Amino acid sequence: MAININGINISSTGTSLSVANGATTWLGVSSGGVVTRPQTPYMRAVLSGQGSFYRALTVTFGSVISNVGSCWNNSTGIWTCPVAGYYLVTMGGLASGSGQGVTGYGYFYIFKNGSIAHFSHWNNATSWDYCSLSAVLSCAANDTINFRIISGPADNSGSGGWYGGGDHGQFGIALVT
Amino acid sequence: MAVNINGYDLSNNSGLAFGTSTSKINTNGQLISPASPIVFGSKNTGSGAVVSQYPWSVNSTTVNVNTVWTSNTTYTCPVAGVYYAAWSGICQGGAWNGYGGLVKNGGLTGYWAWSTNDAWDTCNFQVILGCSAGDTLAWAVNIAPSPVGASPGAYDSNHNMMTIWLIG
Repeated sequence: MAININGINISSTGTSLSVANGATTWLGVSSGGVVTRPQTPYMRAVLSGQGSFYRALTVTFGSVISNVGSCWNNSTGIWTCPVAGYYLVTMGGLASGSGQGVTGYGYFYIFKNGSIAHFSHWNNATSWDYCSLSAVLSCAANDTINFRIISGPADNSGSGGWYGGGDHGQFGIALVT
Repeated sequence: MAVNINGYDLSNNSGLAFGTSTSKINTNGQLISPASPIVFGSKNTGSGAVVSQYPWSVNSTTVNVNTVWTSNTTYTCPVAGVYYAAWSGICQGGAWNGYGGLVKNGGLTGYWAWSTNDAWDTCNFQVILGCSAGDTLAWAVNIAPSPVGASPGAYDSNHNMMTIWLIG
């Protein structure tokens, strides 16, 4: 027997539990006690096809691999948080060194609501340097998250950037809790 | 009084308890899921060794809930969901380039790279990805199915770590 609370259905196989709204499972508890939230909003994307040396005040992607919840808008390069919570944000890729004949340093950022939340820096004399940054952001509903990669000083006047070909640049955002 | 759903009890046992599992929403409103599949560990199989290897052997785990990491090489997703995977280590440069990758069901799903004239490059790779129940995840360092460069690989001897979690 399932329990139906005004359309929200709580059911069990006897060893696992499911909370669903119609055909959409909101929460599950497996027979092993593992809790899952299939509607967890998350995105995964790669720079693929963005060319080198990629730099942008608002990063967009050549390939968006996953976009559950449609929170990522790849036209604007903006993630809009659907609910308040803690969000895991990751970025990583190959940054150019001066050995490539371009500006060998720059900055990469995670922005929240248009302001810098976290950033890091590369300064590399050789070919390429793998850089990554991750953060957990406390966000309210409708807060925005985006990425920035700039070359040289803060005016983005440098000639370097990240390797934009293949899947070298990996990015992700997910609601954790 | 518990609510019984087809033999599965939702009960108040210091919070809302889910059946006989260890998962619950505790009295502070926090979702507790001790069975959540997490592995954290490092490769420590050769002192001073530099290795290109697939599957990358992580023989020293400090967290391995319900033995989701087996044979020192393979993470098996117990449920469908959103997973976080990260690898960190020092990769040998010195005019050599190299690659490492996350391998899902035997195929490459994401990778990092290094190319430095310095002796060593610290690589920190992170990815968020969706998986189905039964999917497998493993690591490859500078050997297929990862892309391959001329570098000998990454440093063994605990100079590396990897972790994989279910996050949603």
